[in-house]
Amino acid sequence: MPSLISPAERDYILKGIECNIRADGRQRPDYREVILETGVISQTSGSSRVRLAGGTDVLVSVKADIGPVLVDPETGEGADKGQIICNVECAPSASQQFEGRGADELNNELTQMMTRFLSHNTTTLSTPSSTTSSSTAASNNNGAGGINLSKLCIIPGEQCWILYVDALVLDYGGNLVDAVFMGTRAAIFDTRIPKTEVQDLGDGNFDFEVLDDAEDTEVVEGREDMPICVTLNKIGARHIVDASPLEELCTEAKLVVAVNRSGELCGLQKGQDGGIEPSLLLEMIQFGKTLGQTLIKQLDAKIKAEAEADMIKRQNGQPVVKLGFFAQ
Amino acid sequence: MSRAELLSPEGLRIDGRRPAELRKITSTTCVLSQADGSAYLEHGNTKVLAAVYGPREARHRALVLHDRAILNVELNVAPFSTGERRRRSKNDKRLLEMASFVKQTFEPVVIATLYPRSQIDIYLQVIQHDGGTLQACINATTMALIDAGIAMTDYVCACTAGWVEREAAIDLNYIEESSDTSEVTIAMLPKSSKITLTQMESRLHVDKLEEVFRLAGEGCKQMYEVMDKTIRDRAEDLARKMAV
Repeated sequence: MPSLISPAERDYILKGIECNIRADGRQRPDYREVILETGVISQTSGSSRVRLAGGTDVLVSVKADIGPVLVDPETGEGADKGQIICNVECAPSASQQFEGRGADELNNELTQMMTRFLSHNTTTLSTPSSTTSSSTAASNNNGAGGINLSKLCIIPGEQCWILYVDALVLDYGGNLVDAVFMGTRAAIFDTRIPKTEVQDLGDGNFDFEVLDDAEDTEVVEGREDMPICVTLNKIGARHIVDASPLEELCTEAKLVVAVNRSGELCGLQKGQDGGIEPSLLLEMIQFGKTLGQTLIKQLDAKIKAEAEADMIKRQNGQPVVKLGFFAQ
Repeated sequence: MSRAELLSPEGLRIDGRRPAELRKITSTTCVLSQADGSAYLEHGNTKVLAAVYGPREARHRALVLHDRAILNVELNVAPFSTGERRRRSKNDKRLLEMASFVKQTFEPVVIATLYPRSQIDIYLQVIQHDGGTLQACINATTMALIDAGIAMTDYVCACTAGWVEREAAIDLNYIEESSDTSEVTIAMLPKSSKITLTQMESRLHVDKLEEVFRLAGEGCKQMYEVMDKTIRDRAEDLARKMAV
C-alpha cells in the first residue's frame, strides 16, 4: 500500500471526485463488487470470507466455546447473558506497513470498534420514520448489535456460550471496516451452536450436556439485526463510499456509520483530522443509512442463495466444495 | 475417548492413506493484490498463505548488507487455525523459531547477490493447522518467491516423515504429530537432491533413520512435481494472455 501520495495524484483524485468520476471509473456513491463465501474454515462454528473487487480480503471465523459468565461488578448484570469477544488482526501479507508491530494500532482500533458496535448494551436510536419492525428491535434490547445474549446463556450465573469472533485481514485494498463487518455478519449468519440440555440436580445445582448432533444445531438468535458499517470519506466538499487505498490517503475526514436492516443507527464514529460541517454530516449519515440498508439486503440475498445452492448439492449427493482462495 | 490406532492392520493410516502417500495438495499463486508475489497452499487440511514483498528498500539501515539482500521472515498463526481457539502473541517462541528455520532454508537458495542493499520480506499466514505446518510454509514460500520473480537456484520442497507404529510414513497430520510418533521435516533441492533443512524433535531409533529419510526424499520429489505443474500452468496462462 502506498503510504505516500504525490500532490499531482492528490489533485487528480480531488478534481475527479468533484466531477463525480473516481480513479477506477466509479461514481461517488458506487460500491465495489462484494464476493462472499461462508463456511470456508472447518473446525469453526461459523466462518466467512469477504472480498471487495480490488483487493480487500477478510476472513472471519466464529467459534462458540463454553465458559463462565461475566458479571459486571458494579451493575451486577451479565449473570444471565452470554458473551461475544471480538478480535481483529491485520496480517503483514496485507500491506507493507503491517509488518511486526506496524498493525497494532489499526488492530486495536478495529477491535474496539467491533466490540463497541457488537457486544455492548446499546440502545438503538430509532428514526421518526421507522416502521413497527424497528420498535420490536428496540424492545429486544439485549444490545449486542441485535444478538440475543440471553439465549446464549446455559446456566444463569454460571456457564454460558462465548462467541469468539476473529477477523483476519489478508489483503488490503481500502475500506477495511466495511469488509470486516460484512464478513462478521455473514459469519454469524453461518454460525451454528450445538444444543444443550440442562438437568436440574436439585439444591440449586445444575448440570448440562452438549448435544453433539451435527444436524441439530441452533442459529444465533438476533443475527438478522446485526449491523454493518458504511464508511464515508470526505474529500474536498464531497463524500465517497468504499475508498480505494489512494483515495483513503486523500481523505480529510472519515465517518463510519453502523446501521441495521431496520434503518436504525447502531453506531457512529468520526476519524482523521479534518472537520465536517453539521449539514454535510447529517447528509452523510442519511446516505450511509440508506446505503447500509441496501447492502444488508444484497448481502442477505447472497447468503441465502449460497445456502440454497449448498442444500441442492447435498440433496444431489454432490460434495460441497468451498472455493476459498481458488475462486477467481 | 480411546486412542485410535494410527496404523490399521491393513496398513491404512488414520485418514485412510497408505504410509507413503501424500495428502491432497492444491496450490495457487498470485492471490493477493498488494504483495509482489503470493501463494496459497493446501496440504490436506493445513492451509498456508505466503506473501513476498521485495526486493525493496531495507527498513533498518543498520542491517543493510552492501553486496546482498537480507531476508526477513514473519510467521503468523490465526487464532482459529486449530481446533481450540488460541491467540498466539507475535513473540511466541515457537513461531519465531519456525520463521528462523524458513529463513535459514532460503538464504542459500535465493540469489541474494543480485539485489544488494535491499530487503526481501516473506510473510506467512497459517490459516488452518492440521500437521506439517513447517513443510507447508516452506513450500508456499518457494512458490511465492517464484511468483515474485526473485531469482533462486532451485525449488525448495519440504516434506515431513515419521515412524508411525510399524512403518515409515510421510506427510503426518495433526493427530499423528501429536501422538507418540517421531517426526522429521526435510527440505530438499530437487535438482541436486541436496538437503537444506532437517528438523526433528522426537526420538527416533538410528536404524530407522535411513528409511525415514529416504521416504521423505521421495515425498519431496512428489511435492516438486505438484508445485512445478502449478507454476508452469500459471506461466502458460500468463503467456497466453500477454500474447493476445
